[in-house]
Amino acid sequence: MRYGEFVNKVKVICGTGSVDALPTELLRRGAHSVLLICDNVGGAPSAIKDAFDKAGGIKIKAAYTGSTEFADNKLINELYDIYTLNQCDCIVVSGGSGITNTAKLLRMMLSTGVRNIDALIGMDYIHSAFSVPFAAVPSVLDVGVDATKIAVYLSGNRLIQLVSDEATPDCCVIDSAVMKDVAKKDMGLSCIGILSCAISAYIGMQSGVISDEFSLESVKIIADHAIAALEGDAHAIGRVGEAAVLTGIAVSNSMVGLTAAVASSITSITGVKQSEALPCVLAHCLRWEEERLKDKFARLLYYVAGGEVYLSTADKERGDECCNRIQSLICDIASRCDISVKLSELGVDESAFSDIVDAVEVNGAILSCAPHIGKSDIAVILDKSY
Amino acid sequence: MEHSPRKRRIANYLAKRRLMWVYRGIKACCMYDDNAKRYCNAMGDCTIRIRILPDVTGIVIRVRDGATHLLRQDELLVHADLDICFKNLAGAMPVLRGKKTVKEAYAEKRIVIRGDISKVMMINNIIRITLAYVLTDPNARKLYGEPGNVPRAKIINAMIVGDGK
Repeated sequence: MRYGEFVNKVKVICGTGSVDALPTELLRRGAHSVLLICDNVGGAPSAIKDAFDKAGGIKIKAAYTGSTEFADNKLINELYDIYTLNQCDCIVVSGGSGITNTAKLLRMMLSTGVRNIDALIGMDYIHSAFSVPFAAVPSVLDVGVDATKIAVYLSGNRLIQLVSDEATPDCCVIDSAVMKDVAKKDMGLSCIGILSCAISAYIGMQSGVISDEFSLESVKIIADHAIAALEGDAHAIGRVGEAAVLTGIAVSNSMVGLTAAVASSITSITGVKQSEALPCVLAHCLRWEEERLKDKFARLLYYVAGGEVYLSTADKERGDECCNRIQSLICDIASRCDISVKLSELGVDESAFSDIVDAVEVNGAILSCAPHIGKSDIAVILDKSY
Repeated sequence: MEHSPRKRRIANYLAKRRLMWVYRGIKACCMYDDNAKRYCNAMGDCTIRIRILPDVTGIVIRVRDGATHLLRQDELLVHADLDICFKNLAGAMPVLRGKKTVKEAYAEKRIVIRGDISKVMMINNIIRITLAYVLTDPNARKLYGEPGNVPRAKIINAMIVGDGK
């Protein structure tokens, strides 16, 4: 049997009214004074405040409203001071990936007692005996960032990534009621992001039997419910929220691969948002990987298109058909939400390609890409995406 | 499986020799291969510690001005900018023998890393280039790709007769 490790310590509470269960969960973990960190997206903060007002024995001691951007060292230190001055003993975060990452970093600092976050950079390195209770209530569907053990922050112009179990929240609340205000375009970008991460987690080198189940189920949910979620169907939005968490758990164990490496490199070189770069490069990255991982893509067809299509497609053509289906799903979502699927439409200049290629080569996400990818392959993917 | 202390000592000694051999390859490649040299330059000035836990077997490499230098054994215990630790010998040996890539070892979660991940990618690429020169069997071609344009003999000669420091 192949050696492998799988960890999932997130308690997921989902369904309508699940925010009301949050105070009890934190009380059970010995928390009484909450630091609420949120951004201005979605209606989660008011729902959380209502839930804590109703509950006894625990209250919001301090609240911080930040931006949707990634944090830097200064902001995290500022939050550290707010936490200690108000004598808080737990963290609740609500919002998108930017603010969630900030809260994760704060939790890591508090758990380890380190004041400089740079000292914690690494992969699976941090172990702390003491852990601050930490809950996340996503108000936008941001590729399961609430369930991953990856935390990102800005150091100068560079995005620095930390990988640690300490970054994972203890509890994640998925309530479609707090996500209904999400803009259609953001929902479309989130669906493509979730799809991309779930597929990367499935085809990556670190994937295992257990993480595969999480990622494949997530792909199936997106394939079945993404379009309905874009139309505003509450049930479908809830399902996509679940897919985001499933993807987050899969990604925690299997990590993201080539697509994320290319998209984040485009972000760091050109400043285009990673979520906007993903739809442009996803299909082309998958085509490149499909040529080398045909068996995996053949199995993926069952989850993308269903059993009937899988059975009616010849064995050798399943991988290719899977890529076609994914591409048509991306185009469908993009056309409904006015999302660009070409880098040229995002204003990316061809002259930046050589820098992007260099950045992809040293991107940590490439560690999970199963086949060895060379500079020429990356250049071809970028040309096709243009 | 529990091994006797004597067997463990021998295994640690062999692992250490392998690690030194890989280091000699890294040094030679950083001197002659363009790609390895480029990665080495990009790493700037830093110290890299490669260890096999829990017996503190390992090496410390100083990278400065695009060249690598081996530091003394006692430097193992002090701070390094980049710390790459194999959790145990069973996870490290396949990599040192060229049976598995660093990527595969990481995928199996055999490694923990402290430090900048982009620098880990650079040292990973240098090790891949080194093993592509050193290993000649078809399986290695599959794992590490084709070696660069420097004659293999030149790299291996530098590994054998170089001072290894």
